[in-house]
Amino acid sequence: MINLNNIWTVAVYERKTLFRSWFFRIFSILTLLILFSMNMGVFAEPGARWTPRAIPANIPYLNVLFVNVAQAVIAVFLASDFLRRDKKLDTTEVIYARPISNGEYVTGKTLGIMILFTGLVVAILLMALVFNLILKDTPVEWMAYLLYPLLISIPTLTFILGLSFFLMILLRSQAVTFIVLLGYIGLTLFYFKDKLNGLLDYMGFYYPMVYSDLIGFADQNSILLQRGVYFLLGIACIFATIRFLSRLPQTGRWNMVNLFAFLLFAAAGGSLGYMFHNQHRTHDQDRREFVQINNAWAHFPLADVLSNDLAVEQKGRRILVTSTVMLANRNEEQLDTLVFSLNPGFRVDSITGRQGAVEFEKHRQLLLVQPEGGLAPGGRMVLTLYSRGIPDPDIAYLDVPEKKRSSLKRIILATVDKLPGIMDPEYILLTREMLWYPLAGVGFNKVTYQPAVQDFSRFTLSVTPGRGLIPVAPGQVEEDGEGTYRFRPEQPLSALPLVIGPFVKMSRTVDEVEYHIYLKEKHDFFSGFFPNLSDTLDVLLKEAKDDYEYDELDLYYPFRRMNLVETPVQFHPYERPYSQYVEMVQPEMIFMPERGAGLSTLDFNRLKRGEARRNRERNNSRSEEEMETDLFRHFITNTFFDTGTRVGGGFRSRGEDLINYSVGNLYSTNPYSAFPLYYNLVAGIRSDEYPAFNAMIETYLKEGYEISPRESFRGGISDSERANLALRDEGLLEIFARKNQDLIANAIYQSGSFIINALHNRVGRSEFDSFLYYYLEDHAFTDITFSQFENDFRDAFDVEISPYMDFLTSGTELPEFLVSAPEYIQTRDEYGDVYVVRMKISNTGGSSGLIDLTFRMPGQGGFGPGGMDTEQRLYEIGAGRTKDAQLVFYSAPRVLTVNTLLSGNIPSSFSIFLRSATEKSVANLEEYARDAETAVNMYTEGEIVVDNEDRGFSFVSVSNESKVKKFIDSRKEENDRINYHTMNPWWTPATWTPVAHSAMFGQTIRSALVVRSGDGSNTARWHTMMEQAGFYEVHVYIPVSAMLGGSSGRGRGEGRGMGGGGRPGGPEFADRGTVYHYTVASNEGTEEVEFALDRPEDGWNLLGTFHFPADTAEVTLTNNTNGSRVVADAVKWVPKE
Amino acid sequence: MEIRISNLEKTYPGGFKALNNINLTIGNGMFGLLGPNGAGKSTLMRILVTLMQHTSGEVTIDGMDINTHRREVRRMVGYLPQDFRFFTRLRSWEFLDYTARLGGMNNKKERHARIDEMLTSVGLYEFRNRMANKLSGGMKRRLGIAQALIASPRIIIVDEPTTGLDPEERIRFRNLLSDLGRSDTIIILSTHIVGDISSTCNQMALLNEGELVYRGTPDELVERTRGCVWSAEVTQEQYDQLKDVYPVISTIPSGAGWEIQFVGEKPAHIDAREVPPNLEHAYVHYMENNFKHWDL
Repeated sequence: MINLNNIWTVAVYERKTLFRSWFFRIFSILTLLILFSMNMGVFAEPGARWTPRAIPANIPYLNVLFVNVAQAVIAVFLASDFLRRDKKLDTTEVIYARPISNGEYVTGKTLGIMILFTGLVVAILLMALVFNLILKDTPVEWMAYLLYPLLISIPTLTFILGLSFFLMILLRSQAVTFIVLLGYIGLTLFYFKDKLNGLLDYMGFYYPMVYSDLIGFADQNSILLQRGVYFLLGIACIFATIRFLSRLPQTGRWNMVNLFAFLLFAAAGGSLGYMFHNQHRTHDQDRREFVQINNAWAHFPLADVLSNDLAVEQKGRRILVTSTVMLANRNEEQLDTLVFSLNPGFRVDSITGRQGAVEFEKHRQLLLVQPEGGLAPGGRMVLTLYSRGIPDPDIAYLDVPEKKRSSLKRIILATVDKLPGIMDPEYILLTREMLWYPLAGVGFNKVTYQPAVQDFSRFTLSVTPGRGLIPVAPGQVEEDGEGTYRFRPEQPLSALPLVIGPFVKMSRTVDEVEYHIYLKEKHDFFSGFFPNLSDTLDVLLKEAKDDYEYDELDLYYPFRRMNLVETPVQFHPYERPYSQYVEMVQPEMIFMPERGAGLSTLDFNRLKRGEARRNRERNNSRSEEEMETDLFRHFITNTFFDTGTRVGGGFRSRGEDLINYSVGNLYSTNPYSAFPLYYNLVAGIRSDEYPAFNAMIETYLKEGYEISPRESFRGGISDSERANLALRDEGLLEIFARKNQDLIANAIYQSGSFIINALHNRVGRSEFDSFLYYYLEDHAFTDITFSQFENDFRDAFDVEISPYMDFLTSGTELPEFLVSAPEYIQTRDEYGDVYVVRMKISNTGGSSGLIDLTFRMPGQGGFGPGGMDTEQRLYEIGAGRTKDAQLVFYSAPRVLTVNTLLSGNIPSSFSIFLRSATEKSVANLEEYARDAETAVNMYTEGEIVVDNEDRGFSFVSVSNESKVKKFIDSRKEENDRINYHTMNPWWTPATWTPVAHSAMFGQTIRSALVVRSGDGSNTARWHTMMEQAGFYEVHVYIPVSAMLGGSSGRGRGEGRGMGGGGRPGGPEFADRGTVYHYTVASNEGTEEVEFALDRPEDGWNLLGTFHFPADTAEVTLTNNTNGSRVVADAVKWVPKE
Repeated sequence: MEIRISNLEKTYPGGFKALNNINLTIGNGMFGLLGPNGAGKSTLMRILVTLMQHTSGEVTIDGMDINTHRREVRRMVGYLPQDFRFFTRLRSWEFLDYTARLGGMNNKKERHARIDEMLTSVGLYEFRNRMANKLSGGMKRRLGIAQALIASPRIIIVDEPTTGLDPEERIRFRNLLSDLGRSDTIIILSTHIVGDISSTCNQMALLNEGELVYRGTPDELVERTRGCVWSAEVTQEQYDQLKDVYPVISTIPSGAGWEIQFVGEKPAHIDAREVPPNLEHAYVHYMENNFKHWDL
């Protein structure tokens, strides 16, 4: 019999002993202090952000999460310390000699520690509760105070205690056990993280467990499985400890019982783990299968859905959907099988047509309907589909790579699930992505990689929601008095969202647009911030909208309504690299996370305090109403009407992070932007052949394609150059097939920028814009195909678009530009000084290209930022063609930045300083860019130049690195498929590595090679054939401006101060004092030349004059140097007169 | 009550034989277990209190095999280990409460009364709230015996209880045990201090190198040594010669030389007088002669 009294006695005294230890007391006090500070800083401090406390359950969650990690570490120490004492000292023998079983003893011990730590958790939760009660804007989520300790603390403690006891018994050394366990904890926190879908995360540190005020946990079954694994394994370890405790068992038969219990619990824990893993694996398998099905039907001709009348009835999580679709066959052939996609979670009960039941087949998401006699070309047909089920979210976002789907979304440390749709008895959220109504054709597939542009269909929707719930969908709504709501959208839609939730509605009508906010009762945390705005709100709303429409877009809001709908924080639509459209925005609708969690523009409390502080600093010059006005404008403009750009590293809007989920860039563009309500949900140019065209137009309308005159002085290659090189090697569709989302986005941007600028160049910018905007207005809510658009464009301008698009298919060479050194002339006309720049530009590449020349001249603000005036010229130059250009200015240009846009040039953009103009008279002051006969020649007659990109260059790379270092280096290489690097003054590779920088020598690719200094076994060799014997000057190219940075010299005392090629006040020349060892060789002999980089020229440097026979001549450079690295660029032989 | 030990052997995993063919019967009263360090006393004790498994042989208590009736044995036994330290963060009375509860004293009132009684009898009542690790060495020993006795065990096993105690503490301790020894209780006292046994035990055994070399009463053992203990006055030179041959028990400076006591055959060339033996003499005699003899 188990003696509970014994267990309790041991627990009581273990707890007492542990509680009195200084170690525990100090730990507890520290934990309380740290958590007090955390609560102060994260939740209570006046400037604390809104997001963490927007979800009330986050207060207990974050507290439990933090204390959980801390106590896992301490529990390990205490547990192993306890058993160590048991082993060494005789104190325990006094206890061991008592009539208590091993099971009672170990259980009592575990219980004692658990009680104590649970007490600590309770103390911390009480503290959190006090904070929670003080925070007037955050209600107490009582359930969370119970659930988090149960789900996080108890399984963690059980597991770590059990594991510590068991390991201590196995390893018999406290130190080893402690190190092993600390290592394990470290591994869990820093390496395992959320690997295997979070299965290895025994602390639940990364596991998504945010508790929504709308739906609670997103997936409580998975949480129970994941936590259950560790709870059961912990118990298994405790039984193992009992079984293997180094004390004679009270009775022999318990040995077997304990062993059995150990195996049973271990197997149960393992089974839960397997179930958990299997569940996720099934999701992955399902998704793969969905794609395979789509692949098989990707090319099948489809019927168009002209209209869809939907009736939805909610039964808890389950919904019944009746869909009456009118179909048209616009193909030239008859359709015997109609292909639809419908969520795999739905069962189709029946399909009826005009003549009764229609045969169909549903497999997963694929619905094949075989109407009798088929659908003839030009024919129409009405079908009614009866389906029911719980929509399966796995069908959504099949194109989004696993890495992106599994990336963590966290609020501080609280991990949030990412659900593409919500199916909760209290809240339903369905978007087109969830395939909740039948859509013609199949979705994402690996045959076409098509980003689907959906057809517009006419919808009606009637919804019977669950008790107490209200549905939200686009269109005019009427309730029939019996709990059924009918929605009639005024326009055809490309997507129909449906939300059913426990909403209250706030409404107002401004300028004929109805604005509704749907949110849960008591979730209005914002109205109180605008007590003085009730009269002016309408005006402010209209102003902000008008500003956006007139100033930013030149497009107009086409819907009658605008609904802001509160969603559970777990709702997460993904963005796509080929579009800036995120499903956060729907026709007539923008989803907002519950209580504004994650949106810093909704952090009114903090923003208002900042505003009030600034007002105090300005002697209270502004009224309450003015400050509220600013706050409201800030919210509207930055949340919905922002103009944040996408390309160029993460989403930023006017210097502020809007989406402040702390980990990972979840969105590269603002998902709440209203832009899709003006374009993506209103129009769309679909094309099987050129699927990216729509995205290019979208980016143009939203952001425009500004040609950036900026140039990176860091060297290496930029994201746009990387995209260029990818486009050189592959077509746009092949790039789509790769999973690198940044590359896809950049490639689309580069291509879009090229095409739109080329079209501007051909037809004129304002003409192009005028055409486009009228076209979109005329074709709103209709399907536009690329060929239709191109035909209309051709009719208007007599210009073809497809040749530019064809250029993006694979196997096309990119343009490459050579730009001659500009001739800079100062002259006069009757009005004053005139500056003329003459230059020659050749396109040596395989296709026509665009080149932009931006001239900067000091404006009224001088050279400072924003003080420069710029003038831009854009030329299209055909493959193999050369242009002679003369450009005329009335103020002196100082810098010319050449941007070759989409080209094979590295760098694609570079600057030329126009230092002093030559005064001479110019007869013709007309600007021109006329075709020239001869291409740009970068070299002077008679000179022989060998660059590192030329055939005459070769190198020998020998690495003496250890295997580990080689492995690390090779991993670095693998991560970077495109191999021009940035020179790093602190670290140089051990083998010759290509680097790029505009200061380096090169025709279209300005690059060099760099290697770490060594014993001289790494050599670079430039060789050429001398046609004439004689004396030649040998020059070597030292790209000084590319070699700036901190002092890189190892073992060099000098090198401080102003460097040889460095600019005053800028970074210094990093290689000053380095001596390069060259060998100049011919069949007449070799000569060693030492060249010290004391004050080298930024460019060609004379090595010496040598005699060469009419035979092979070569120059060799080794990496044997006193400096840290050697750069090999180009060598020039200049015949001596 | 009777403890019967038959053919008991204990071999440690390394092959070291700690106990070899021990046969012993222990009845009520005080039983002394004497032997040098490493003789196997603690091993025997740990086997008796079920902390260690013997390799072969049998131990029964009132006919119950201790291997198969551990719970019953543990209920009967009060144990004070040799090198006894306490949980550092428990008060004296808490420690007694802990062991009393584990000993099966579930009635709180009775338990508390018993704790007070034990604390009084070991003279620690006024220190009942002192942390156990703050007690002096003697107090700790007394607290140790208190915890062994708290649940009124029928077998009390104390391992080297007087080591490190001052004479006063030691006498007090012996008296405490003697008082208990009069009841229906077996008290096994393991020690290498002969005085502990001579003053308290009516039965004893001698262990050496894992083997039982004597069992009987202390008086019998003393009687066997009669005629072998001598006292003499010797010069320094004589003393140097003598101590190489005889175990010298005491050496007191006297006049020009030493007044010494030694154990062995009477030496021919020295004027020695016979002294009546005590247990200490007997132990030394046994150690020096019988054991060596046995070994041979």
